[in-house]
Amino acid sequence: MLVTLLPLLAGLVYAILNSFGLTGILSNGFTLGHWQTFFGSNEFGISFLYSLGITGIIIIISVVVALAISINYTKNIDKGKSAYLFYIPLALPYIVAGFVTYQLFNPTGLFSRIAYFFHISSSPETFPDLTNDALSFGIIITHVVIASTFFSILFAGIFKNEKLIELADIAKGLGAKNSQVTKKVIIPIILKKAFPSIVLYGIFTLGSYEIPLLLGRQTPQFISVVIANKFQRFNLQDVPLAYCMAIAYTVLIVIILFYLTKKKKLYHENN
Amino acid sequence: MKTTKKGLLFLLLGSFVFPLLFMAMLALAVSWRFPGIMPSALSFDTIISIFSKGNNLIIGLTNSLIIATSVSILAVPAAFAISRQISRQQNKHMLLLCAYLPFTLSPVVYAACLNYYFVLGGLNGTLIGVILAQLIIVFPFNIILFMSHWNKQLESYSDLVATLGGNKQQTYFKVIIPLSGKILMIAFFQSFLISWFEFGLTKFIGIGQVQTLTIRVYQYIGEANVQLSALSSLILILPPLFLLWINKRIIYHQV
Repeated sequence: MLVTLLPLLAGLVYAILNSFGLTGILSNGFTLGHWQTFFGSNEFGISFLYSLGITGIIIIISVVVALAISINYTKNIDKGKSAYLFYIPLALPYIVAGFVTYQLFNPTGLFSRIAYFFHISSSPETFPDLTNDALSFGIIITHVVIASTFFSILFAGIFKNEKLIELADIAKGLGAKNSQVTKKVIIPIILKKAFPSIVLYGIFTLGSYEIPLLLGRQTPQFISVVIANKFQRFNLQDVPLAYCMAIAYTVLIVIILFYLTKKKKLYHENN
Repeated sequence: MKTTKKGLLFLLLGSFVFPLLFMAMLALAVSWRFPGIMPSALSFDTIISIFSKGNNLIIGLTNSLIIATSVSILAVPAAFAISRQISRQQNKHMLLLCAYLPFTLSPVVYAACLNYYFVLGGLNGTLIGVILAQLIIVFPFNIILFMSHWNKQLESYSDLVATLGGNKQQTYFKVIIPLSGKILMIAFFQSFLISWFEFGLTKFIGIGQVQTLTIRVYQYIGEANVQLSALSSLILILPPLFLLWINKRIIYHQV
């Protein structure tokens, strides 16, 4: 496991040294100054909570949409020509997905033109801000489309592998209504089986970069965008602070993963 | 009720296909100003121009192909062999956590932490540097993928070969690899796709000098060149669509 741990540890060691002023172009010896700046500012906290909140919204909407799709269209996801079409959103790289959303929802985008054609809006300015907007609509809709497709395929697979149709028939045979079968049998089994994938997908979304970069606002920004911007700015004083943020983010992710591993929730044993 | 369900499915599938048609329209549109719902003229000139010698898009496509192929060829066999060893360890859950770490950290954050070493080794801004950086992400992904593959049945087959006098090489090449064909194919496809889609890590380690297709798309978007952004996006999604089609058609129907 050295192959995976060594680069990570090496990266963290350099980040720690840099954050304490022990290395780097502008280093003047050991200092706690960068960490004092880090803890004195709420930039990381706001950005992390914002990313976490948006990720939570994305995951909840996607799981609900995917449950509806996979329960109603299991056969269409699994077989036939429609099965191929379900894979299209997964073939979209985030940068392309962000570009398409921007071209559709920006004030001069396709939907604004359609709204103008039907006299719903009178100019690009009167069309609501749906990209780089305060409610992060652009980021949420783009992630939701990709995530709900991914979860739909995942849930449909569980539906098949866990023989949920047979289980549902048994439940109905015992007198359960359709709604009870869905709520008490199908949804709990799918969510339990898919839990590790949902959590991991949430962690990936939390660290996503391209979509918030293209569709997000200047402030608050997703955590990856904040950290990357600090590294790439011309102000070299920001670099140690960026390392402080990278360390804090890494520690938080490690704690989450460690907790999930301890609870044995990250993967199912294969026998 | 059935008609509504079919109608909704049609709408859903339509919304999946629509972005592709929309991008094709953006790539062909010569002039598409507000408030026009349709472009005023279409032209194939931009598409033809990309085949000219030294075109940036072709360079990006070539670089992406080289990087994605190299990363998959290097990561999959290594992860296949090592994941088997991990699956036999007592503390495999903790080892698996090590595999999750690089993969779950934001690639941009990870790249930023590693950048110093790439500069030190003279690897940043080089094709080899980007391949190495992507391996750091793709390799653990494959470990995670293969971990659920190693089961008691597979180990029993290996034991049987050993009992019948087969050596390690024979066990691997005559039993384990043939029985793992499906997962190996999926691993190759997935590794290729992760590398093909990669942007943040490549942007950091490649410092703009390694021009992959994702980097080109980003640059065209930054230049507000909608036509080339759409065209390069289409080129970017064609191989994934093809691979996903093969993935679905061959692999999932094989067993």
